[in-house]
Amino acid sequence: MPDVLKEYLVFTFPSTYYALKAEKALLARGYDIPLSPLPRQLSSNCGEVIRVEPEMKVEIRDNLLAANVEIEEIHLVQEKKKTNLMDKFFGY
Amino acid sequence: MDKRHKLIIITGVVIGFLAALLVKFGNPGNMGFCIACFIRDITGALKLHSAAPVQYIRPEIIGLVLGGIIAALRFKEFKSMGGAQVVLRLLFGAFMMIGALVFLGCPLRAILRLGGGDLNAIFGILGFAGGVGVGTIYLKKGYSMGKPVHTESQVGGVIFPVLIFGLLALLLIQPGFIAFSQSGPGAAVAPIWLALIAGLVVGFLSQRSGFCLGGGWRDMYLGKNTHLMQGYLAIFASVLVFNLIFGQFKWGFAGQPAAHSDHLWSFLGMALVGICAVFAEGCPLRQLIKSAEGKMDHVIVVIGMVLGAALSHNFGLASSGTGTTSNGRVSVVIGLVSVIVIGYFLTEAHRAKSSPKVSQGEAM
Repeated sequence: MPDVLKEYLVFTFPSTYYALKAEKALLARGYDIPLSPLPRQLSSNCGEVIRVEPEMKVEIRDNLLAANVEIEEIHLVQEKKKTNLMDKFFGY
Repeated sequence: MDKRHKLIIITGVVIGFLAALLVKFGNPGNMGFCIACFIRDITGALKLHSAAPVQYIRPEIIGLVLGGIIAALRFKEFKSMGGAQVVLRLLFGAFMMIGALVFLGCPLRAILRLGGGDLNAIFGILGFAGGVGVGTIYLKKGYSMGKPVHTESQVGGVIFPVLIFGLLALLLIQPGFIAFSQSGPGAAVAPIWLALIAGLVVGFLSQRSGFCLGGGWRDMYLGKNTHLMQGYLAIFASVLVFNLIFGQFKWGFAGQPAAHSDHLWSFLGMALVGICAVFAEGCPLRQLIKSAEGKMDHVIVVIGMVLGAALSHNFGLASSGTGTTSNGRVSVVIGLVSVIVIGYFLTEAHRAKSSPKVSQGEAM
């Protein structure tokens, strides 16, 4: 896929409470992963997510579940090359 | 600087410039944009309240929503969805408007007032920041409105844009049954074409940048993320500079346009707005933009704001240049107590629902 610049995994949560809990739980297990804003590719809403490399899916998921963190969904997000001016200025 | 940051700063600078320009061309002082005041004016024009000085179909609001719709459609972000605590959202919208009309401005106008030299606005901004702080404590403890769902048909999300086109038609045709102020703030208006274009530009940029005044403080409190706050500061710097250039800057507490010096109630009124902005997921500007994206829950908040405006002017809750009213002060207290109690129950419900379940008979 030549248009894909990079891709990453996004863990979303039912609420800010669980996002904060996830960040704390991961930190306690040695992962320093700060919360990121919900990517625009998923939604124009506000929200906090955990963003990791795709190969970390299983270990992060298992750590979160072990810490009783409710995961809403796990998404693969692709950042694609913008081809026109409008997308370059205003697209995500 | 990445694109997100550039976009938020550009949005702030453009809002500041256009706000100063709209005042230069006729809008009331320090009211180039005020989502609360303008929705209040539209509410009056539709005769849902009868305060003669504040009745006008503000083209800025129409433009904002249309700009948001254009951006949402162009970038495939128009999605009809809703269904999360709609009655509470109506209430939060109404309280958000009541608090704003006690202060005399939404969070956006608070910054614009300060950028015009109105020092009374400092108390409103502090109150808003404090209110968002209280709301953020609830978020950390588990507050949630639940998740809206996508609707099978897009028709629900299209209703709001249709209503906005209806408002545009009423503005252009000006039929006799619509009320337009002959004097007062509602009669101080920029040319329709300018107000519409200004609204369109701000609506488009706000949709693309995710601009939210409540979100700015919230992100600061949650994770020291200053992204949205940069837009906040850009508005202030921009409107300050352009007010100075246009000769509209007036420093001090006394004699400020559409403002009073009842500082405690400015603080508390905007604290109510701040809590509601967190609970209803967006400041008044963001509510309009999300409504433009087809999110029906936010349309309900906007309808709540219309209800709040009607209540404020029909029952003497809204302040004026001479100060707050006793009805307004009582309603702010009722609002603060109500949202704090509602927030508590929503927080407890979310935590209880999500706690690890212990099956029957199992030792605790």
